[in-house]
Amino acid sequence: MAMADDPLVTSLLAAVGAAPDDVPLRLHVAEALADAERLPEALAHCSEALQRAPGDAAALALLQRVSAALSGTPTPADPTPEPRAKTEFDWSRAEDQVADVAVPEAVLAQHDEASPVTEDIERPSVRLADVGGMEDVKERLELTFLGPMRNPQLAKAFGATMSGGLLLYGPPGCGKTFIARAVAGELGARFYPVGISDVLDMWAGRSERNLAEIFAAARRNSPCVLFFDEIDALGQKRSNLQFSSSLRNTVNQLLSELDSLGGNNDGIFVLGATNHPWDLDSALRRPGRFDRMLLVLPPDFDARVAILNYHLRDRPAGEVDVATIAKMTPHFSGADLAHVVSTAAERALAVSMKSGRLVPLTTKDVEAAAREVQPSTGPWFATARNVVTFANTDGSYDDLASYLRRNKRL
Amino acid sequence: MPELGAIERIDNLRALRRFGDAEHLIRTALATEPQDALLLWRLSAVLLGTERVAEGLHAAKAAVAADSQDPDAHRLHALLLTASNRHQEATHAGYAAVTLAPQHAHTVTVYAHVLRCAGRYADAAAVARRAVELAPNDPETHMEVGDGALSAGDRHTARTAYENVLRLDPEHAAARRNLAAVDFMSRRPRKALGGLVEAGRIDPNTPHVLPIVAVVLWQLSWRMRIGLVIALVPVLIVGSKYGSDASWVTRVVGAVVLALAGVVAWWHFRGLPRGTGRVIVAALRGDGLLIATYVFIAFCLIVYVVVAITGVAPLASIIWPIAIVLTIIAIVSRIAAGSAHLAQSRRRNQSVTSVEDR
Repeated sequence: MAMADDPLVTSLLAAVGAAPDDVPLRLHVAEALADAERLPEALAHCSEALQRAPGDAAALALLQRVSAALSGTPTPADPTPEPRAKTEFDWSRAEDQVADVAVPEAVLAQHDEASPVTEDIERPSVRLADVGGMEDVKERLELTFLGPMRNPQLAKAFGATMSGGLLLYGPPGCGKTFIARAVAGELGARFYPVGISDVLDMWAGRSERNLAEIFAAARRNSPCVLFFDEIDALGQKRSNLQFSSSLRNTVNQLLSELDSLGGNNDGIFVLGATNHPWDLDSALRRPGRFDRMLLVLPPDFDARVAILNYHLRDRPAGEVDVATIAKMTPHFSGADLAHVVSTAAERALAVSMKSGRLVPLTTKDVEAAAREVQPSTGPWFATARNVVTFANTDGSYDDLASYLRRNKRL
Repeated sequence: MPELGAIERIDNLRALRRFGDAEHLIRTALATEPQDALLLWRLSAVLLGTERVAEGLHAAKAAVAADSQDPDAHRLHALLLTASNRHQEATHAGYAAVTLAPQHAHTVTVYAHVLRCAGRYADAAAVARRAVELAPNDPETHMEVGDGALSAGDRHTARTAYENVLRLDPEHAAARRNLAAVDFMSRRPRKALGGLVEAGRIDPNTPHVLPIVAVVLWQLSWRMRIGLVIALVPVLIVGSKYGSDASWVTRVVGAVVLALAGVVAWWHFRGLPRGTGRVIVAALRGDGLLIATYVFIAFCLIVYVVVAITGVAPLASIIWPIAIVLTIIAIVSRIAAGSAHLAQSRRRNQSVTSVEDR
């Protein structure tokens, strides 16, 4: 509906003319103009508002909406439903399988009391196929973890044990959590992410109890992938915790809970993620605990292309040569790539605000941002090099050593 | 005053080196209690842990202003002043801390550290010994005695102190590394090399391990160079007798030289931990001149092999110019090491960041 002579808009414009520094009023005008499909004018008012209040969240949101409307991209408020991968998991059969898993009475009793642990358990729909690139990781995951889980008889015939967890390690921001979620999706299990704040409590003894409750909740919700993010914080070397008995007890409790899963595969798959596996207490790496390790490296070329496309999708982008950017950004983590795109977007926004018209992102913008942003994985690889040099006596870090050699970092 | 539980949570996060989370908690609590000394000095400790010295100093000053009777606030203030190279003020702050808590071993240890960084080695040693008296089973008090003695050049005391640390905490990587440094200074390169490899294995994040390995390899290379030149004497004596003719005597002398070189090499590298080769290669990669030195040494050995096979002694005379080149390389390396030492001494005060986390 064209409202070129809308009296409301006219009066608002007059009001803005009288009070040009009133940012909320200007945004209100911009919104009214956007509703009236007078997008270029709306964009100009957004730019004005941002000049007066840089970083204003409402102004940025409106600018994004107007920019998207101008470039014909659907706005976040108007999402196009994406086809979801169907989970082909037989839930009734799974529930039959775990029906005989007894919940210990003590656990039930504990759960009845007021508990600070929130059961943030979800049923993820993502699968490994949704992870862009990273074929090596997927293949190793399939061989070391998912394959034996899917083929228990075959695994048993070859003496492979079903107990024990999987430890994902690698530089920060490289998708360990996403992969863990995808593992849950592949197994058709619930996903229970546990962070340090879910466990560590201010009161003595409470952290251990929180851990027990988390495992109890996982048992109640089995089949369940229990995912400990940043497990180095919960399972730090006890020799480093000489002055904190409560933290040492937390490590002991974690070991004890992992052992309680050991003998019987009761539908709980324990996954851990850490940037520093070398800081973990060695007892956590023993058989039946986190005895399998999977290196999650910075995204490869295909994954970088997928990540860049993902972050560009809702932004007014012209012809961006994503492959060129992906070639420029080896060793960049997923988070670094997101930072590259947002840095480029900030530049394009500044240019748009100066010119008063929408200037879409170009390859040059993103290239310049990629040159500006340093990969955050550098310090991690510096430590990793020391680990491979000094601490790879049992071959635990052979994957890492091979990657470092391939990339001439060793 | 914040809840004790909140303080314990902050301390747990600091112990786990989750400085970001700890800082967030502290700042949230400070929003309601901006003048709380307990929170302010913890904030300064967290900022020190992340090497944000200027910000940390600001927080420590605020903590002292909020509660001038809190020894922890003065302790952090002293450490941050040391990290800012303001040693005079740091010693005053450290003294204030120990005056308020004379029986607190950690505070006394920090004061010893502050005195050491100020160059007052004798005072630092006396204070560190007092810290050991207060807490004889705390490895960090012994560690400070060792570090102080090492700074003062007292290798015997340093060795005993580091051995005490390792007795109390066998997985103390820094003590293992520093004991290796003492071995290096005592001209025990094999023990030093083993200790360094062990320190890296215990904690791959231990700083300065590879550079010290490189220094030990330089020490070994001097021994090898001297050996190669000494070995040249009998070969050339034999050569003067037989000229450029092949002779069995030359072959035997060459073989003896090689056998002796093998024995010496075995003596120096025997019993080293698994993975030492990998560490040596990594250390060599970080020092081009060291690589050149070992390449030339390897070439000299090949020359001796050729002499032992052919029996032609004058071939060994090529080792003379190589020995001269090796000497030039060593001099260049010494000059470069001198510059590096200056940079290291500037960095020394930054080691303050780890004292509070001990």
